[in-house]
Amino acid sequence: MSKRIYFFMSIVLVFAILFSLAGCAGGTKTPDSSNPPTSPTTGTSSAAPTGDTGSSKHYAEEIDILSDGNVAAVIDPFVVGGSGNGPASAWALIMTHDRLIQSVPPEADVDFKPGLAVEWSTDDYIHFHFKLREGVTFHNGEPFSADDVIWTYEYAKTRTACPALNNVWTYVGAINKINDYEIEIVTKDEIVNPDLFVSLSGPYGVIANEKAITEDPDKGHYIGTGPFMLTEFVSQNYWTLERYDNFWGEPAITRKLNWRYIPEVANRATMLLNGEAQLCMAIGVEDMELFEDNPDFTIFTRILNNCNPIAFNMTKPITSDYNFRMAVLHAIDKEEFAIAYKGKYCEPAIDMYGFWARYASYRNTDIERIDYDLEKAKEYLAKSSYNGEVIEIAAATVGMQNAVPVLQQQLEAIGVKTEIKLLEMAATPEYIANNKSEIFLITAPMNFMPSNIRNWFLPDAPSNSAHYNNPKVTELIKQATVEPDDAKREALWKEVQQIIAEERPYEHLVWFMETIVGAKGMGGFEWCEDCYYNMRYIYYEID
Amino acid sequence: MGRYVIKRILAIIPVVILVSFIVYTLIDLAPGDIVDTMLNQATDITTEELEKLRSYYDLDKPMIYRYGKYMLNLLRGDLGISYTSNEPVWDTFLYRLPNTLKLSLLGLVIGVAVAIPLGINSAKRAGGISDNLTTVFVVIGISMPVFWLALLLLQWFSLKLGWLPAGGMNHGIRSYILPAICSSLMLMASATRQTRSSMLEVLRADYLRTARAKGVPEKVVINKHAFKNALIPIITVVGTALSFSLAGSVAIEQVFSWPGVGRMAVEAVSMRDTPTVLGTVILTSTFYVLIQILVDIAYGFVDPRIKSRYVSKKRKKPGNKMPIPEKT
Repeated sequence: MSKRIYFFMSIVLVFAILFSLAGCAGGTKTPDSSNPPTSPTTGTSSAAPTGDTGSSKHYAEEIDILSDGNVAAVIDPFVVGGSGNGPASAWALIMTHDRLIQSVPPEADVDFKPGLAVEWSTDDYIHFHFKLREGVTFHNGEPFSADDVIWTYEYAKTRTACPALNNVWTYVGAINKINDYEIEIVTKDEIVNPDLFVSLSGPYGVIANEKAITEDPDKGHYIGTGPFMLTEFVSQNYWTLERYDNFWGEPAITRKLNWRYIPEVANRATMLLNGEAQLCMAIGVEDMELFEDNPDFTIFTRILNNCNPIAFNMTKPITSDYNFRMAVLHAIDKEEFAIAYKGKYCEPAIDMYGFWARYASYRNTDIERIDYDLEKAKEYLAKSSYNGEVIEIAAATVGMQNAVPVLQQQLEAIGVKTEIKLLEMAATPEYIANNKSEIFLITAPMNFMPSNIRNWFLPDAPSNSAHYNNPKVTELIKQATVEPDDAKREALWKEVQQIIAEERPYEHLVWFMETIVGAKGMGGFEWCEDCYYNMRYIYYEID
Repeated sequence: MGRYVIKRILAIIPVVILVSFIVYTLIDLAPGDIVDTMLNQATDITTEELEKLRSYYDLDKPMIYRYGKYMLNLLRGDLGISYTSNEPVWDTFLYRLPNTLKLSLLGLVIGVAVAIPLGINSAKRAGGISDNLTTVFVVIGISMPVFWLALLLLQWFSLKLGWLPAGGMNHGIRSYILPAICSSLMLMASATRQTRSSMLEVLRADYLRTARAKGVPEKVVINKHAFKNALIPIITVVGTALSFSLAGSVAIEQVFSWPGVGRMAVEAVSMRDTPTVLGTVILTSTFYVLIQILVDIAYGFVDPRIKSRYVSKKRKKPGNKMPIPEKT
């Protein structure tokens, strides 16, 4: 026995030493391209392909998807508070539920695609007319009609701060049934709302079924009319979508989608390399080199609506000083900042708008850019009231820790002393509300569409991180919101943008780029205007 | 013995009250709350809705009121509803607990299976090469952070060799190998060290010399007489290690994306999901205390002297406090 123990112990020790040495060795190994990832869940499908895929090709019956840290704790548009609904919940809802109209990529020729409504129109942005699709059934077999739209609206109103209410139905005052397949939506307080179509097309604009939810309050909200049914869901763990064969539109190509929540970014990358999944959301920038020159994988990137604006605290004497803000903005080299932040996987912002705001309504194209110019920065600083005090920069963004020191150095170059305060995401709103820092670096969707401007520039708006309060802007926003004449409304919104641009309480630093990696053969994504993915026709082409 | 166990079980109550109060206070003191996390996700939320939400979650009331309400519900066995998943905390915990249990027990089995023979052998050959090698192994095992070992294992066996899955528990027994090795490492190292030192102490005892003089085979001397007498400190180490791993192998579960109790607690903290954090802490601290009670009971089975001390002291001095066995 002793000899065996001795032998075993020696093996363990030698192994431990070798293993530690191997682990300490630097460098990464490029995966063997002769061993492409395979899935134990793949099979052939005779489903009709869509888009540019050929009918002779074979597609996997199942796809395993690794979801990122945006965990789905619930998949419920009506949950009170809705904190558990992360982006992943929205992806699932896009697959399982339909909206009256569907959003499309911002660069598309049309504004929206038909959903449960086949026709839609408005003359005054107060009364919206919808002709509904006939012959649609919910996953529980119930037929869809105008009553479902009305019931969804009424139900959402009973749920405090649920995503469906906040993002969609809060803007609606009444829904009038014309007949079983025609409705008229009237805006809340009969206020002009050019954004209502956008709200209705968002991921939480789902139409639910009364019978499903009243019969099973816990799981009835899974029932929709979309091309996939949610068949399994374990909070913060995994969920499974299966094709709904009675879907009103073109059937999905893939029969089953298995989503797994893997919080660790390195695990996700490794699992994808090992063939444990065919698609992985949000691969970390540091892991991208494993896939960049690898023929077995396809990288999908897209600039997101989310940006990193810098917000100047307008209640602090120094940051309310226009010259100081201009000095800071001219001192920032956005390109250098972007590289420090996410390397080539983010874009330095070139204007105060979000990337996709180029497609936004009423955009003021006369707004001047603020470019990196150290001389100008120093000139503005000399004119400002800055006396060498330390400026606190609170960075609320995950992953900002590498980029904020770069910003600090850039400001130091013009003589502005700064101190960095890195914040946990949950602590950020309270920190901002308590008015502690002079400058905040935040992550948020900021695109300067009218509804977006309201969220950021009205004094009592919860997203108003700059504590911005200009009575003239407030008044203009209120006027523009209710102005029925389109030309006048456009002029008002442009004036708002002009004032904001001159004051610059916010400026975009970088535009995020989403990185998704799929095994070779993956395709069928559609990117929606609201940054979410439409994966209804996702496929994995196999030999 | 029965009275002693009951007393120890009742002692869980103040532990739960104290732990829950400390945790509740810490969560309350941390900046941000559940409504703030919602605000991070929904920029469209209005101030009015935010106020409604704060009222819905009683965040507009003093902490002591919320804590009192929580404890009253706890008396009825209600651990509350998770703010994020909207599911009862008890149900979520019960769903996650088996995953943590499997990992902990497997780690325990591996750890004990390696540590005890290694420790015995080391004691038998004290000062020899194998003893020195074991000491090196023990030092590495105790010093190496678990998350670092986990990352090394992942890099080697998942990324470079591709033999084992990198995370989750979707691949049957293969999913368990790497997390279980990590889970067992600390136990392996500390139990090896403890076995060695206990055995060294026992091996010098007179009764073993007597046994050898009587011609008892060396195997029997070591495995039966010596080892049994060295067991008490080993049980203490093993019990403590099991308690720790059950209390949530947070790092292991996080690195290996293991859907256990530890990961549940971590996610709940970042979401400011107070009922889930509290529920997890209360239940795991209860488990911790229960395991310690089991360890104490196990002393009695291993060493009849301890058992007889319980009984004899109880008979002689019925009014006296129950003796608590010494832990080494």
